[in-house]
Amino acid sequence: MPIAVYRIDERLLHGQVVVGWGRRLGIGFYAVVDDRIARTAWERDLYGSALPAGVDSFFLTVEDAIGELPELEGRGDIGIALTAGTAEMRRLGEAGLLVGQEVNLGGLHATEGRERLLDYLFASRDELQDIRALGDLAGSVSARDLPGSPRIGLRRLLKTVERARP
Amino acid sequence: MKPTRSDQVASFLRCFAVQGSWNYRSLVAGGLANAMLPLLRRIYAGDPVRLRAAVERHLEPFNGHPYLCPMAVTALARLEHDGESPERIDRFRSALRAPLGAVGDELVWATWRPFCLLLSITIFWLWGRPWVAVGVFLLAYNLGHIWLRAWSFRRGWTEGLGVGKDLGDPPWARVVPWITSLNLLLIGSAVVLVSWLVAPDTLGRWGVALALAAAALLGYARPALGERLAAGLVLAAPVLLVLLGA
Amino acid sequence: MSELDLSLGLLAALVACGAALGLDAVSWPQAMISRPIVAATLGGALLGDATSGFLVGAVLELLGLGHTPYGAAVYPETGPAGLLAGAGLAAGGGSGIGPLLVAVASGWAIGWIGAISIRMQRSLNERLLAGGGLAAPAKKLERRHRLAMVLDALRAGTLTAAFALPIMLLVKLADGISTMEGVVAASALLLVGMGLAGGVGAGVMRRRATDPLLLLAGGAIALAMIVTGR
Repeated sequence: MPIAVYRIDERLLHGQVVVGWGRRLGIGFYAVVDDRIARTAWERDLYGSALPAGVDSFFLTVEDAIGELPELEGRGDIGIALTAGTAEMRRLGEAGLLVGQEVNLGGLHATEGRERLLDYLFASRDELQDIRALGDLAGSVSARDLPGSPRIGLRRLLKTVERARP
Repeated sequence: MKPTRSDQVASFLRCFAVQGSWNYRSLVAGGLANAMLPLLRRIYAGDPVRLRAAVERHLEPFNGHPYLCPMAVTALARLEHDGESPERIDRFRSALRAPLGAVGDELVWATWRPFCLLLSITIFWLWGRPWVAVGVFLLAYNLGHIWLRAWSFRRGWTEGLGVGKDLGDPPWARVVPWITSLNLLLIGSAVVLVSWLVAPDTLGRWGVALALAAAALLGYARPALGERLAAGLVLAAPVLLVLLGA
Repeated sequence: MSELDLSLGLLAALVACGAALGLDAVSWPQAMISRPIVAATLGGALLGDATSGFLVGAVLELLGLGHTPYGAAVYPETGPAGLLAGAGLAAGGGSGIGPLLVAVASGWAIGWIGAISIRMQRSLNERLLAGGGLAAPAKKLERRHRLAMVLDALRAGTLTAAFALPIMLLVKLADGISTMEGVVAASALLLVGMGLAGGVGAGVMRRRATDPLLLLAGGAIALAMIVTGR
């Protein structure tokens, strides 16, 4: 499995991902799936500058990713695919890319309209719907910020939300 | 209006407390805005409405390595000074979180800090003087620490939107792989040296040191298992000791 | 077992150091005086034995290699924990593996209790910075930011005060188990070994095939240093 994890993290390439996961799994490439960043050169440069030497990055629109991620699976090294939001990951799932794959919920921070699932995970109603849908589209869905942290399964996450609601 | 030298000094000093109000909602944004205030007050002197809008903008969630946050403070202040649109500032701010976190974590937490700590343990082994070892650690580490804060503060104001160039090819790029390799050597050696120092004579120190080094390699091969076992066993230690020893 | 001598003045010094070390780790100025090798050496020195303090600090360092403050990750708080582990070992006055191990275990446990207290502090900070009006006037932001730092120091000081005496008594108890041989010593070492294993396993990078070889080479160099008496 050259793409070891499909991660949803609105910070995309940052310390937890590049150092925390990257070092532990020996990551050789990152595929960032984000329409806006893929089309803006200075943003690509800025995100790309987060990576250590020798590690590759690919910035893809969702549409391009559907065609190119299976090709990246053919590389000899291990990679991580990242989306900033749940909707993009859901689209990858609907294109059949997530069958048997692990989807990792790594970081959605607090904004207006989102409710708290974990310290590092907040979601709106729409995002929760996407996450539920991912449960059917992917091999497994769980939350974990770092590889050494406890893995919190989808069922437990959704229970947290139900308990919090009146 | 351009910030003066004293505004810059005040802002730089506040950068040391950038994580002072760390919270799960806005992360380091409170500290970032607090450090930007001396600069923003000058930039928007006499215009409280725009000052307020700028402070509110920078109270939105932000995160980054604390030693590289000075780059965010000055780069964002530069954009404010240059009259960039709020939308562009927001996008730049979002994108900046990535390299400031990743580059800083890789350089400081994963490379420089372990290097200085492991060096200190080796020095303790060689000279047996705890305060010399601690002194070397604090001096070496903080030379790097303060240099990094000062470098990032300066480059942020100079480059503004172009800081990606600096972060993509930083002055330490060639040194880090060497220190990373050196760290592995130092970890291997520190495990044996510390094991030797704590091993009781009753068991035969040779056997103990070798067994511990083997255990460490096992931990390297299966980190999750090693870590869980370690935490559980170490926490169970007092109970075990009392039960077995009493 | 000698008497445990802990005056009010010494306790006050420990609490003041604990507060400063707790503040250093995250809030200000992150000069890393909060690392176990510094904090534990300081704790040991306050109780008259800096060397024991350094040793317990070194074990805690290796143990915690894998726990790094990436983003919002939860990791043990090392300042007050190291300080008390070092002070505990020095106060216990023992030289065996038993007191050392109890000091390490105590430091590790207090580290995680510290992590919980930091989490509570961060939730409190969330409330301090919540709501509008921080930007107008901006002085309110500055006041709240400073208040958060004062509360962080108070938190760390309180943690130190709460655990100072229990830790010293616990280490003292371990010192009572004076001779450790056979199964007990082997078990104790296993704990340290697994701790180191976990720390090393989680803390080092694994990008290149040569990485394990470097680790082994480091071990070999250390063995050579031991053999040659350096």
